[in-house]
Amino acid sequence: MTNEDIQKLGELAKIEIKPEEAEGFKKDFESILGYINQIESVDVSDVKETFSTKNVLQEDVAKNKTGEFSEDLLSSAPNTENGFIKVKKIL
Amino acid sequence: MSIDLKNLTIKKAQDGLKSGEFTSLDLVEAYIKKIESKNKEINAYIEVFEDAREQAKAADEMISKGEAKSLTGIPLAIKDNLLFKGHRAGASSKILEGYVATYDAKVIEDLKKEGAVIIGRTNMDEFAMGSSTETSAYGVTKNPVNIETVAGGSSGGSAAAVAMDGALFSLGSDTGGSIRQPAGFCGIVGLKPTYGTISRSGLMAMGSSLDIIGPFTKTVEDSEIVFKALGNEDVKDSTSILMKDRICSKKEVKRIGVPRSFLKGDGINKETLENFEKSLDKLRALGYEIVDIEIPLMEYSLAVYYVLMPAEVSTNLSRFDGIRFGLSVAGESVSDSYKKTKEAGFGKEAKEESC
Repeated sequence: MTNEDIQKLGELAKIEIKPEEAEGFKKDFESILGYINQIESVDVSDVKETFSTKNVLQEDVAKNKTGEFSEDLLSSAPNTENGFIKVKKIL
Repeated sequence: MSIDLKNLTIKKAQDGLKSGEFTSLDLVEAYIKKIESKNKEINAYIEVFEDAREQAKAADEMISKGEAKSLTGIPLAIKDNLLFKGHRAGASSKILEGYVATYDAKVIEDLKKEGAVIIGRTNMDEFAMGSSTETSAYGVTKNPVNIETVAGGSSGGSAAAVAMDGALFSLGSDTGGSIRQPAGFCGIVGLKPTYGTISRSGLMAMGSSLDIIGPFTKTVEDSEIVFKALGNEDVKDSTSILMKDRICSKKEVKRIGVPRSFLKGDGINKETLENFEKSLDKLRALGYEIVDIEIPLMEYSLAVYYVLMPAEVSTNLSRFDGIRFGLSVAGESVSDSYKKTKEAGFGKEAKEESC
């Protein structure tokens, strides 16, 4: 891995990574990647699936009154205006 | 009033509350006193809730009306990643500074119905990532058994709270050992229930395909009492196992499998191994059949964990971006604000696993 790889991962995860941190991250990631590489050597051709998955859905009906939680939720937000959450420009 | 907290269990406290030997308020006062004398050194609690005494009074009322349930009036502590409406919750991270829970976790709902008394929230590794409670933004939790050592983690505060007699029981969460390991370190009972048996609604998610909530107690019997109270199905957790699908075998077969490969090599202390073998002998004497079993792919499980866990953590922590709650550092654009907020609010582990 290179420092550029680390900065690219930071960009994708939207985290600012300081150059002095990147060096430590690189070491840690390389050690994790080295460790998980051993999975590649496992032969699972004769291992049968032992799990099953299914969708778990609820009925799509409104159970709460309009605005029931708005005040609580808005009060958690750092920046609001007229009942909306305010953010910096997106484009 | 002096209550012998050291030898108190949920079972004994139920009797004491029922007979009127002490009230829930007496219990809560005794625990708060203990916390005041011990917590400075141990750092198990981040906060003792202001309404603890009010909760105790409400519980005493339930008891006097004859409406007591199994956990009525019993004081407990919760890990800082569980939501208790109107109370601070922060997963021991700076990024959730000032955040107050807007709803109750399902386990909190159930505890309220029981009339249990939630006295405070406990220290943990930031977002439950760690095995020593050293990555917390609120300092390290020390081990009450030996303060030169850590309490383990990530639920180190919850384990230490019980081990220092600062609560009768506590709740933690376990993704890759975060209940079992600190319970072991602190010499108490930790239960990682079967995935899907306790709802995670209102638990801040770490690795969703692994996370589960469970209790720290002083005895196995107490652990069973808490599990029975909280092991309910819940529509708000899609992995919750429906009660009708839970198989509780009452068959006479008593067979216990022992994966011997875990016990080989240098990873286990000789005394611990002898103790383990003695326990097996005791179980045999009680009529259990002990069978050695092999789990051939087990040696790869940790490597697989290191693929799954960071992927899920990265997804789950992306919501902490300074828009809807917690810390917010303004940047030039929304994207820049995300980056600056996470840079300022996340510790090293949280940053790394997010990548």
